[in-house]
Amino acid sequence: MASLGLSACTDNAAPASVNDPRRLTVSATDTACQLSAITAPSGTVTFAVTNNGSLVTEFYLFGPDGLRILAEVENIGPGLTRELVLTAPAGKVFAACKPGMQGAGIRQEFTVTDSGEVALTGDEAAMIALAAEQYRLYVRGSGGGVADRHDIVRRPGQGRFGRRGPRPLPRGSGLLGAGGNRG
Amino acid sequence: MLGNLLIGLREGLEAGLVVSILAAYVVKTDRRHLLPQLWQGVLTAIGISLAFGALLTFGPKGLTFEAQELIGGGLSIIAVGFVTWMIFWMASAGKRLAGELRGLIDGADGTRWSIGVIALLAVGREGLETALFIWAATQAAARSADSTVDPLFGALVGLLLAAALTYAIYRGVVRINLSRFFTITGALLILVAAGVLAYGIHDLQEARLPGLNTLAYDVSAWIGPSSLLGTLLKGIFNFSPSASVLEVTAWALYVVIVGFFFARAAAPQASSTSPARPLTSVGVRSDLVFLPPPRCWGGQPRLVRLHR
Repeated sequence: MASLGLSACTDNAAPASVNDPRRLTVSATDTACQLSAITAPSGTVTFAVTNNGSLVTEFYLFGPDGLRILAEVENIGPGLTRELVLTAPAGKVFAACKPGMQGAGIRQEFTVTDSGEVALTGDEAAMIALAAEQYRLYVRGSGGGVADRHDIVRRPGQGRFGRRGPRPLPRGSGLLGAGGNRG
Repeated sequence: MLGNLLIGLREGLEAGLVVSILAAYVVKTDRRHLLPQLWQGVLTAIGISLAFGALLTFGPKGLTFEAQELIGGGLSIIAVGFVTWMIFWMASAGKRLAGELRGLIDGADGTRWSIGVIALLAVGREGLETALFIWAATQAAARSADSTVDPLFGALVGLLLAAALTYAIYRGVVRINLSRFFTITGALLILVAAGVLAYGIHDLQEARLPGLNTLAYDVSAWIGPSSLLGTLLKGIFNFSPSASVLEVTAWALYVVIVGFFFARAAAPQASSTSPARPLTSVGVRSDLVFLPPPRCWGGQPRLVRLHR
């Protein structure tokens, strides 16, 4: 039964892998780490790593600094093919095989070109920054309102978050329920 | 073949060790009726792992690296929580057993399912990685181009060896004298759990947490990760030839803190139950502990009242 499902899947995967620039193969031996290409478009990239050596190996993708692990697949025993799937943002990274599971590994540069499809990390960072800025402006605006209405005047030079903590928000402003007064 | 055998051996030991101690405990305390729960937990974990692994291997979608590390690391840390609870549960049960108060042990309803859950987590935490490895070996055996059964054979032999070793450990542990059984298994479990915790943190560091490359030590030149010694140490204690500062800190903190409370919990009854220090010399006399407490006191015998 397993072999039936297996053969069905190889049939599906084989034609796609020929032309798909996001499906790469890696041939790892005890002394070499051969990638089918050294570039791929950003998006969901798959590396099928085959261990043609005699040592157990691992395959890594490191970030531009060569330290942070972007993705990794372990336990690639001799004769096995294991897949590493990752959502790759555009940029330069390092691919590495680690025969014997130790040492720095056999490294080479790998370029992920910008396909416009994924810039997930960048987008998220931008959205977080935008949200933070909007919140900051909103809090400033609300605080100003309180000052206007209740004559709570901020002295020049006194920090917004001075010893007394954040300024109270107006009652019924909707933010933090009915007035976030910590007072 | 040797490489794949060692992987199977390591992963099998990692999964089986906690289960073997748990089984020894169940048998040693005359509660064989809990063994089915134990096996259910083990088989469920194997089943889920194999099914999920097959889905990822043969199905249309793979699992991203980060998700896999978060699953492995997260489950490891949850497993540590459960094993820690089990350590203290065993310590308190052991203390009561030593006082010949067998009848009072765990009327707790939680015991039945908790044994299953611990077995499930112990096997399941690294089950997915092992399943993916096994399916990759199966693929290598079934592929049309240059099919080879070597990896699958090696992996299965490794797993069988791990099962045999785990069983040997179980036999050895069961043979320990009851008076020392809980102390020895407890200490062993603390070391194993600390290793699992360090391993879980390593996984999380690979996925998200910083500090992966700030190494505390690196002895991989002496104890190679692919050597037999390295495999056994990794399989039993989750010893890693190179570890980050955070891993080592977590390991040490766990051993010191849990070890301290375990030593206190496993100490003679008087120190934990009697508030009055002067009674200690009387309280440790075992013939006085033998007196069963009246039912209305509920549970623990209170030595203090006996001497008032």
